[in-house]
Amino acid sequence: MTTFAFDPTVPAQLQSWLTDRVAEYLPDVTEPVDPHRQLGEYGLDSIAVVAFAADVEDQLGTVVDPTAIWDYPTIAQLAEFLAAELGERSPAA
Amino acid sequence: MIGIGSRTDHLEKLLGDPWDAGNPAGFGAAVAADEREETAAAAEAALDDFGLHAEFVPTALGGRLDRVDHMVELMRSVYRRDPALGLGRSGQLLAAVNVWTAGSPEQRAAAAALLLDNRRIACAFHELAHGNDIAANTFAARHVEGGLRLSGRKESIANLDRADALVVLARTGEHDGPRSRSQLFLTADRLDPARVRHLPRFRSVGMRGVRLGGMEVDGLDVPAGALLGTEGSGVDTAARAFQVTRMALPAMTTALLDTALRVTLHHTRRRMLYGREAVAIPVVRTVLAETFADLLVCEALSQAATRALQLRPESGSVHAPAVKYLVAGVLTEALERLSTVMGSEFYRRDGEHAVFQKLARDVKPVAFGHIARAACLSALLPQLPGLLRRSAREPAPAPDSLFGAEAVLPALDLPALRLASGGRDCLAASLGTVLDDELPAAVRPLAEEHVRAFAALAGAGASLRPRQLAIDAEVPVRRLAARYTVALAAAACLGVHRMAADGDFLAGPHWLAAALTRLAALERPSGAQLPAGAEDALIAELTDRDDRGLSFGLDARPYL
Repeated sequence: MTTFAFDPTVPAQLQSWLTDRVAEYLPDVTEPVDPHRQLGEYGLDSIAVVAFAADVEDQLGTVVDPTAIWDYPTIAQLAEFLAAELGERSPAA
Repeated sequence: MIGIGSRTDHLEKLLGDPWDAGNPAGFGAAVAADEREETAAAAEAALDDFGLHAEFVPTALGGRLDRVDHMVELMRSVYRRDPALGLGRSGQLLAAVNVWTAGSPEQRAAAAALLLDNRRIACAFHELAHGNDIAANTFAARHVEGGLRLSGRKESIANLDRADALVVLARTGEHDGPRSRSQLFLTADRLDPARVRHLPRFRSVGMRGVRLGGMEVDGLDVPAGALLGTEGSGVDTAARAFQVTRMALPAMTTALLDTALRVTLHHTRRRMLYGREAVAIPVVRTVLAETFADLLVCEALSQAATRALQLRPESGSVHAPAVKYLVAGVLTEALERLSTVMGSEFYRRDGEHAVFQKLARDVKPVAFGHIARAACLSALLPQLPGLLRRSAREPAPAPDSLFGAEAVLPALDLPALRLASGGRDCLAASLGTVLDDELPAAVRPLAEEHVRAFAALAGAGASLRPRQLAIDAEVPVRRLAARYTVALAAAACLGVHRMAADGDFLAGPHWLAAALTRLAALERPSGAQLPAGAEDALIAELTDRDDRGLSFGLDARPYL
């Protein structure tokens, strides 16, 4: 598992990382991604959602189903959800 | 429950010898029915006598479905006589798997009861304007007092006009996106004729015996209890459930190629040209041998994938589009090549080989029906970088149970299927270890070539940028996904060889050398000749199986 320069169980830190990461998947994004705006509005289509989820799963080392992004469609919501998921795992895991 | 071998034998007997011109369920009857855009009534009756739809119902619900690979093999006895007869029945699966995945106990019991009673369930998802983009469908279900009100059109739906129940995909949310779609399970008595207008039958080039219907619905009220799964779960459920059908339907279609190959073999063994049997002409021999190898490749990949669905369900989202893409492509191409060998006989609608022209048309929808091959590559591509990274990082032999005649598999757990694999693919991971096995000298360099190609693919995958994986991916990038399916098929063939019983044809080197050569030719079409010896061995096996009435697939089981 990747060692992070941030604590992924803290939503604010995870949010900042996800914000940078998702920008890689968005077509023609020139300004910073607003964490409270729906990712679909930025043109993240259903196929890119699968790629983004797979990438986040690989990086965080926890299962991230594409449906997580359907159900938490802004970066802020997704960060909160994933931080809670990661926080539930034992620290030794 | 009666074992699969006895069930397939019994079904073969009920349907009878397809070559017998007097058999009302034989090739002659299938061709005559096709001219009328129907299927043979006697064949349909035999399938009802057998209780075929029980094969689609899980054992826990009173049916006979406990292994997807067994269901596929049994359905090959139907497809080999008339693919339209097969698809008309297997089409129920598209609806059924969604009910098994997300239905309430009552809905599951109701669907099972219908199927066990030989009745039909149609899957009303398709809208011509949206193709495979099901999350863009416009058929709507709006909340009203006491339930939902349905409006919109569904088009090109198999068996819609004679279905006793429907599974419908409808828009239930205001916003765009996958969570705004839901599935509904409706019995046909809910389709108030004042609100539902059936559309004229859609006409098709092939599979003419499959009745394609449509409906226009204007304000039909249904109870909220018709929802299948929770509101907003429609696309999610389909993404899991259709992993079964996207593998199983192309896998059943290999029996179409068995018949096409058998007809071609019959013709070329009897036809005298330039003073000898046509089958002795080198180009004819080569096409026959290569097609036999192609058939084995398709069955090896689909067997491994359908078994993995039960043994390693996390890989289903990868294996389903891979099977559909590769098997459909190989089958389509194989029919084209056999047509050239059939010569003018391929063009006839009468005579003892008339079934061939029907097969050449019936094979067409395998490339686009249910999901198009192009959409399969789009589905694979976003997972590709993770799959390639993980298989390189964690090489491991594939489980023995994916291959071989004997296998013990856990129960099929549809709700446990995932929308993405997290990079886990036991077939891909096995390419890192296959060269550790003992391999025949004729096979090793060919296996090494596939392992090298997979390593090169991993290298190319590592440099992919996220934006390159989207729906507008460039053609060379999409080819990487196609190459991945070739690697999986090579891994499956190596696995089948490894697990074959001593003395079995599949334990020998020749078919494997031919299979790996044919797979390599998918990437480099020029100049890939079967290795010396392989062609002779394949022709000998093929003619022997033909004489003994055995299937040309992995099982070599008795065919009437």
